[in-house]
Amino acid sequence: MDMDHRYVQQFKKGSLEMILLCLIGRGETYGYEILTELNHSASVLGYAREGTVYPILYRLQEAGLIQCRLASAGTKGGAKKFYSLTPRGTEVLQELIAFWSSYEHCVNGFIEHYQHGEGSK
Amino acid sequence: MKAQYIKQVSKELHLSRKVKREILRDLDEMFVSAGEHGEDEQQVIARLGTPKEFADSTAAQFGVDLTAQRRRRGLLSGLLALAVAAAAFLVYAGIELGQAPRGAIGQSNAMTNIQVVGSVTLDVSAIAAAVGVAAALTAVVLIVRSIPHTGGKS
Repeated sequence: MDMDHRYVQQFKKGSLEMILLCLIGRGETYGYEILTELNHSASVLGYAREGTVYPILYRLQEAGLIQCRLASAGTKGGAKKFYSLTPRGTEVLQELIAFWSSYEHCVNGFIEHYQHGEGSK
Repeated sequence: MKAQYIKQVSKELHLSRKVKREILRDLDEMFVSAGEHGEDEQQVIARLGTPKEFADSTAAQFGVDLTAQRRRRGLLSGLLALAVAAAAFLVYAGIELGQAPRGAIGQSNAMTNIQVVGSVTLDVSAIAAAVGVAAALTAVVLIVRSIPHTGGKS
């Protein structure tokens, strides 16, 4: 099956913001770490590229959901931006998680009905 | 290679200087971070896409509609050209109408026998008229172009 299908792309796009909020909500993290994390634990998503992730980080920051501070990490590293959730971001993430649960339930309902229907034919 | 890439992105990014500085800093961090993890610049660039792609997708997240921005800029220069035209015509009118007859000095009614050497006044008014016409034409073109046309592609 072609996983690069347009509809699949839309699912991925729609959930990336929530995934990023979850990742950042776990604790302060920086750009490259976010990318690596996405690629390790969510390789099925297949979209962890700077060009996709950073623009969303900018938007989340503009919206006041995440904040960042500049700090140097380790000895050899240059300054890095460390991201964390703002109180507003935590709030929105909670809402998104609640929505996701009911959304998943709803979509699953349609899938089950469809599969039952298929079976009884 | 990295410097070249960042320079290109900088050229393609049409955002405020402050935002742009942030983005270019982050871009530099991407390269440095990747380097710390053993990736070379080529690999990072392969992920980032072309400088234009990166710049456009980034600008899009700031709600920047590039065509709208260009249109606004066109309208602004159009209005500026219109102001220049108005000023030039005022100068022209001032010289041609508002002043005393040629050859008169100051506001006196009587002619003097002092000849104005050359035709400086005429030159200035001719220049003012030319500038006025040119600026007015420019203004019309720019303003018409900045009006969103419905139906056609912009």
